[in-house]
Amino acid sequence: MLKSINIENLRGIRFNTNIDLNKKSLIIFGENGKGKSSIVDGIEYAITGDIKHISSTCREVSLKKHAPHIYADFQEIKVEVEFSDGSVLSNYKEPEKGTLAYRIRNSKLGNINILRRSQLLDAISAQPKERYDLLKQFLPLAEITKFENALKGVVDKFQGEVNNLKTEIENHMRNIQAALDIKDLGSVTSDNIFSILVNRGKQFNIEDIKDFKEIPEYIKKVDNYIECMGNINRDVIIRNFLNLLNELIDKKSPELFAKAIYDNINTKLDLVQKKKVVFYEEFLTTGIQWLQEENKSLCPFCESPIDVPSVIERVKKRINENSEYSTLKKEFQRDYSILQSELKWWEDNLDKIRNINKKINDENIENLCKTIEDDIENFKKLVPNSIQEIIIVKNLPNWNESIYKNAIHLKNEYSNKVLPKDAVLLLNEAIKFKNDLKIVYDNIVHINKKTKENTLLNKKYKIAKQFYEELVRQRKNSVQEIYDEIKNDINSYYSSMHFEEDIGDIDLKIKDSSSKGSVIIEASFYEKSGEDPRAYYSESHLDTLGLAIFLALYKRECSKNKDLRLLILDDVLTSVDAAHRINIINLIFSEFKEHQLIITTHDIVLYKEILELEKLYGGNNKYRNIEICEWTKDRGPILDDTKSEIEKLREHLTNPHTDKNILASATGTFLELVLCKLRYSLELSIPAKYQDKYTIVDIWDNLYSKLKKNKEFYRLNSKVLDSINVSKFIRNISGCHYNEWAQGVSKDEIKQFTNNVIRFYEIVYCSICNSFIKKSNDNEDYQCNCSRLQYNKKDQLLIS
Amino acid sequence: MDEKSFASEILKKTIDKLNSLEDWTEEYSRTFKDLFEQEKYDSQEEISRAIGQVVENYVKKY
Repeated sequence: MLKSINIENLRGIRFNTNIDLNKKSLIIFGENGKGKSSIVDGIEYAITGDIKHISSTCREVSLKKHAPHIYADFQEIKVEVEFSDGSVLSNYKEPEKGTLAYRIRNSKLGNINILRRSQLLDAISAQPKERYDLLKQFLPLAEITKFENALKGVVDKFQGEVNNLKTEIENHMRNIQAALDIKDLGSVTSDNIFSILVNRGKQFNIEDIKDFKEIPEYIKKVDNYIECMGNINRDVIIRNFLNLLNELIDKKSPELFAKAIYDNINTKLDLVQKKKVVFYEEFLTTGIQWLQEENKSLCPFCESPIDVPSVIERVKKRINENSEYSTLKKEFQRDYSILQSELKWWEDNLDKIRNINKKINDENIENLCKTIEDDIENFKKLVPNSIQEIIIVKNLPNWNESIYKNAIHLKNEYSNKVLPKDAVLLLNEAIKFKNDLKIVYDNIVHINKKTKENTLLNKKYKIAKQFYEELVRQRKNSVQEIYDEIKNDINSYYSSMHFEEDIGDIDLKIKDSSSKGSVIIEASFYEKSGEDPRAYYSESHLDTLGLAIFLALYKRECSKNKDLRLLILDDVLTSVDAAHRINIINLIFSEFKEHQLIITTHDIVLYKEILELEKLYGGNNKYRNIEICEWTKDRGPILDDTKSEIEKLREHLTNPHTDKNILASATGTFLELVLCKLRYSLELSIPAKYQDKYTIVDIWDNLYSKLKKNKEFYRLNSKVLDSINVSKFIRNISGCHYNEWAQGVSKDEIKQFTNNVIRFYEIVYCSICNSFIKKSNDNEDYQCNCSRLQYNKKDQLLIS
Repeated sequence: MDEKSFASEILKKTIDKLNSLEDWTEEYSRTFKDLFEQEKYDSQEEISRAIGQVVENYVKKY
């Protein structure tokens, strides 16, 4: 059982919120968004190290990012719960061995004892498969799930490897299929492969193959056959050589191309020689135009008189000569290129022949090459590469005629050396057969190896799969056993919640259809039985059905774990009407009377009803009630609990970093809380307000005048009372809203205000009996429960 | 009952069931029990390695 709870920087809670329970149950009232669930989150986080509704919501919401208060980091979260034996579970320190905290931390309970309203409807309304997952969080399934997940991973891994091996084996079979030209993969069988190999081997007169192991020997036999038939490689070389010779023999002599160049130039030798005097055509044409258009009669250079028509005639002649020369130049370049490309052909073929001769090694071939090489060299040297060079007819190089003669001779000689066509065909077939045999053998070796691996892997896969499937089956059976075990409790609880209603007979059944698990719920509705309750039940009936299931699961868990005596219900009765919820609270209080309960509600009527019911089950000795009166972003929930709030206020006061506005706000809120308490204890005449929400202004003036009338009180405490009376405005100007003019109030003034409020609290609240002063008689005498504080209207203050 | 005891019970039932089958050797049972007791049951590598070992032993034996 819990003795106290401390939460700081978690969810809606900013500053340290301490709740002393001293093993009592706790009922928390607070409107929506006031921080009730943050307190539940804090307890869950301290006990389990997790807040399930955050960590398992969706990928976008995470504990690390969303558990801290919006102004705090994850590292600043501080939660701790103290147990009845004094041991502590927190998010920053491991519990000591042997303690209750240690046992609870290590029992890995999950959040089997915490129920939130949203979980109720979710679990009931979901589809069977999702429902299994939702109910799973209330069952001790985390460890077995880890086992299952790891095992499933192994099953999938083995399956993947088996499939990969199958694909590899199939690829090897495809290689054999392609080599032996087998129509479909299914026909790649040992018999078919043998039959094809035997048939193909017959044409080479080789003995039949009997076993795959004989293939290497068989390849040797085919090799011998190929060798006996002749050298097919040499035959290929000779055939290539003959092809080259044929081309060479047909090729025109380069001499013909050189002669064309020489002949063309020699016919126009005069023109070539005159080239030096020929001027540029464009310049001369422009000159003529200038002479004609401007009617010039003087030479533009020496200014001597000239005969213009005669000059024009001579210039035109020169222009013609230049044009002929240009044509000649172009023709030369064309013919020269042709010759060069011819010589390039000879060079290339020379290389090819020499390469072939490396394998044939024939001196005559080398002689032929040498002659060709010399002639190419000669042509390159003697044929001018420019028209400007003087062309001399006698320098026309010779292309040796012996080249053609020797080529023809070699052709005749080597034509006799090629193998007959039939033999070549057979040899090629034998070579292909040999290659196919190699392919078949290599792939069969791989297939055998991989088939062996596959057998082993398949065995592993089958074991893992068999184990996984059985584990899942047994897990489902175990969960079904739990559901069967709690069936009576579910129905008993549900009928307590809805007595005199003809509904119930609830049964939870695990369906076997999904591998993970799915749960169907069957229930009766008047004369209909075995129905899905979603079909007939109202929302609140579904909610209470969820609650009945949860309570039964919790009870079952408690019977096995004696340390578990803490039941937390966060706002679970929202949709339930007044009559039913009293039934439910009665059920919870009676059924779990030995347990510590933490129940939150945002419904003031329900809260008041619970307060009334508490009296039947132990009252203040067993229950602690807290109202959250306010929540602010900066400070979190403000509890209707002056004892814990005064600690927070003292912390703010002594912390030098506390912002003055926060201090003013905290002081004002605390004063409001104290005034609300005094409003009842001193029986002030104040007009009632909705949900007892009073401000300082509503109560202070009435209280101030009443306390002043108590002479003793006022005589002793007038300084504090009067100071608060004049500075109470600080709450409103600085603490509530941002006011520019209020910024003028100094922090020292606010601290003084806080000190006065703390002092005021100390004179109206007794920390020994934990009670405020109250009217002790009609004479307006005031005293606390234990009479330590006494203020008599006429007498002296007595402190016992 | 804590989660580990619950898982242990399911494991025991699984092995008992599989032991009643012909091809489930004692070695498999021991391997999975060992994995659980050594808290290696949430590691794919460890499970995979253990199964591999069992199969190899099995093949050597038979």
